[in-house]
Formats: sequence, structure tokens, C-alpha cells
Amino acid sequence: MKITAPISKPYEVPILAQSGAEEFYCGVVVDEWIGKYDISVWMNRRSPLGANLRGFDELAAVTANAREFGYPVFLTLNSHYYTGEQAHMVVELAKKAADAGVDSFIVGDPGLVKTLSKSGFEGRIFVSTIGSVLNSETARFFVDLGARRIILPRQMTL
Amino acid sequence: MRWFTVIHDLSDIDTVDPGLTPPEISRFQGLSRAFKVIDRHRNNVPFTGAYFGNEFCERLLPRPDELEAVLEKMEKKGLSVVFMTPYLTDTGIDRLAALLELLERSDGAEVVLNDWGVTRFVRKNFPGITPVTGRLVSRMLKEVRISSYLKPGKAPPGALDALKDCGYSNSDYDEVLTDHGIGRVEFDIPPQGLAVQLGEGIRKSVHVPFAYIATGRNCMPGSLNAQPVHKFTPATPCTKECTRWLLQMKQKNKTPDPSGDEALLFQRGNTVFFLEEPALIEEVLSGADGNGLDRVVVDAGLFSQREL
Repeated sequence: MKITAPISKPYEVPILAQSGAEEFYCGVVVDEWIGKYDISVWMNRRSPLGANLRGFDELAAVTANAREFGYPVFLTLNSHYYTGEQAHMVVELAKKAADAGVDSFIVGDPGLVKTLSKSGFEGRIFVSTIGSVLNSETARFFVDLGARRIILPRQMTL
Repeated sequence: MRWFTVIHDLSDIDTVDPGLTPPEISRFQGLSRAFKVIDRHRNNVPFTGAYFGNEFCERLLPRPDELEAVLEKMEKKGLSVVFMTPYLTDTGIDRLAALLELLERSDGAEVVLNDWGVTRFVRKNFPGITPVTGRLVSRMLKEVRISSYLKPGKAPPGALDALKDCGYSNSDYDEVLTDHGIGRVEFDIPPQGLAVQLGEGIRKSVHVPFAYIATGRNCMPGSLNAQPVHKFTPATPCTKECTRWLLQMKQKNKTPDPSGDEALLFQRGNTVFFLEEPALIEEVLSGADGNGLDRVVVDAGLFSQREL
């Protein structure tokens, strides 16, 4: 069993790793998104300025710090939905994030799961709690679309 | 355009067309205006059928004998039944199977599915049923406090367009719908308006005059009489308080109603609802010919307390 910890600043990685975390997840805000959609339309379910990394340089710093411990970093792309235009933009962001060392993506929107799978990220997609996986059939649904891990809603018993 | 009503209780069946303005709710001006808009567009066209079931809570799945009674009575009235289902656990899916067996006996029976796992289950095991994707799957931001952000010049056009749209404009999501045999998707009318373009062959329904904002498995009204250890958990032993009571809510922020009326915001069971803005109901219904909309689901009974 591994502890997965949220990150909002690169310096948090070694502190959390030394405290027992072995996986990290984070969000990122980028100028392209804010310029087009404003800060009020969130790119993920993390507070845009309070909990997100600011751009790919910070993201690369997080993945570099995690790599020193041999631990992966996951990026949240888990808004409730992405329009066709937004999904196209997010795929380009995912490619840059992968170049910056991100291992997998946390996604809730079935359309985006499929889009990312078709864009070469199949098997690198985790289903967010936003995906509302309350039964085994929904887990199979997302696996069929290319997901590798399911993050269950907090109220589910194991 | 086809019009459907909603059955909340078995006693509703005998008065399936109860009129669209129940007297106990007329004190809310916004609601009266909403029903005037609905009435004008409906223009006394009879209902094609009725929605029955529940979209928000597994505990409210009916018993097979209740569904059978509804199907039988509605058939005698010459009205179709569209069966609504909520998010379900594996246990809930087992219970649903018995209901689907009853529905499958009716040719082309429609079931509203608000859970992709349930959709997969129906597609695999009940090919005779017509699946409809429900409004819980048609995710949009439905936050009434957003009204100040919607004023002219405040939000960039890209943001407004995105807020009126949803994930179905992604062609890959469109493929997911068609792969699962979906020919109809359902929506509420959010405070920012509704401008969703669907793929070819997919029709649109809207629910009026109430939209849901948020739902969940931990139920506040259901927890009121529970022991502390059971409060606000999926295991709360509720007594279905939601079928008798609702909680009216208040907010300090601006309302979605341009007249300045207090927003009609309420919680029924595990779900918070608001009154859709009458001007937006008008806008959506007026555009009915050009946007794939061919069904309106009118829920006159959602905002009413059966025991006061």
C-alpha cells in the first residue's frame, strides 16, 4: 500500500517523501488556459492559484525532485467536463507535461479519457473521484476507454 | 416537441395531468413566471408520457410491484413510461435488474441512465431497452452564485461559451455515446444558458422548471433522526424523509432571477435544486427547432411538501 500525496510547490516533495509518501499528484495552471477561459473556468478540481503549480517549469521541478526518490508524479486533468475545444488544448498540455516528466494523468471526463487514450496516453490514465465509480461496471467502462487505475469516491467502503 | 410529466408518488398516477401551477407554490413569483412560459409553449398539448423512478438516490429505486402498478395504469391511459435511475452500487444494480426485466416487456421502453456503469450493464444485458443519458452525466457548472460573473463584459467570450457547453462537443465523447447506443441525452437549464451541440442523430431533452446543482450519497435530511455514528454516511438508516419534506435554502448572493426575487433554492434529500431562470427557459424552448431539442420534462411536483 502506497501513500499518494498532493503537491502545490516543488519544495514539498522531499519533505513528503521523507515522511512516507511514495507517489505525488498535482495540478498546473498555464497562461494559454487563463488567457482563453479566465481563472473562473478551472482546468482541474484544484484551486487555480492556491493549489496549482504555475507553469511547466514548476512542474518539471516537481518531477525532478520526485525522480531523485524514484517516485512518480501524476497530473490532475479532472474538471467535470472539457468541451471539444478544451479537450484539444488539454491534449497539447498533456504532451508538454509528459515531456516535463509526468507519469500519468488523473481524469474524470469519459470523453477526455478517450481523447487521451487515442493520443498515445492509453495506460497512463487514472480515473478521478470525479468519474464517480460506484460500481464494478463503471470501473470496466473506464478500463475499456484506456484507464489503468481507479480512484474511488471517498465514501466508498473497500 | 413532446411533453412529459413526472410521477413522484403512486397517488400521482390518477391525476397524471395535475395542471402546471400547484397553488401552494404560486407565492414564488419566479416559479409562476416559469410555469407561464412552460404553459405558453406547451399550449395544452397533452403529455406523451410520464417519468417515474429517481435520478438521485439508490434508496429510492421502486419495488417491482410499484413499477408494475405504474406501467399497468399508464398503459391504460395510453401514456408511455420513462424510467429514471440514479448512480448505483453493485447492490443497487442487482436490484435494478428485476425492474429492467419488467421494463423490457414493453417494446422500446426508455430508461434514463445517470451512471456509465449502469449504462454498460443495460447495454450488455437488456438490449431491448432504449438507453437515455441522464442529466447527472451531462455535466455542467450549475452554480447560482455565478450570476454576477455572467454580466456583460465580465467574463471573456471563451469562458461563457465553455460554460454553456459540455463534454459532448468533444467528438470522442460523442463516440462514447454512440458506442453505447445512446440516442438521447438530457439536460437542465443552467444559469449561464444552454448551448450544447450534439452529434448527428442524438436528440436532446430538457428538464423544467428545476435544475439540480449538486448531489451525493451522504444525505443531510436522511441523517436528522440517525444516531451520530450513522449521520452523513452512505449507511445512514434513513426513513425516506425526502419523500415528505424539503429544506428551503437561502443565499446572500445575487439570484439568477433578474426581477430581484429571492432565488428559489431547496434541498430534497441528498440533492440541491434551483429554479431555472424563466427567461432562459423561454430562450431554450424558443430555439427548440434548431438545436436537437424535442422533449421537455415538466416536474411540477418537485417543490412541494406532502406533510407540513
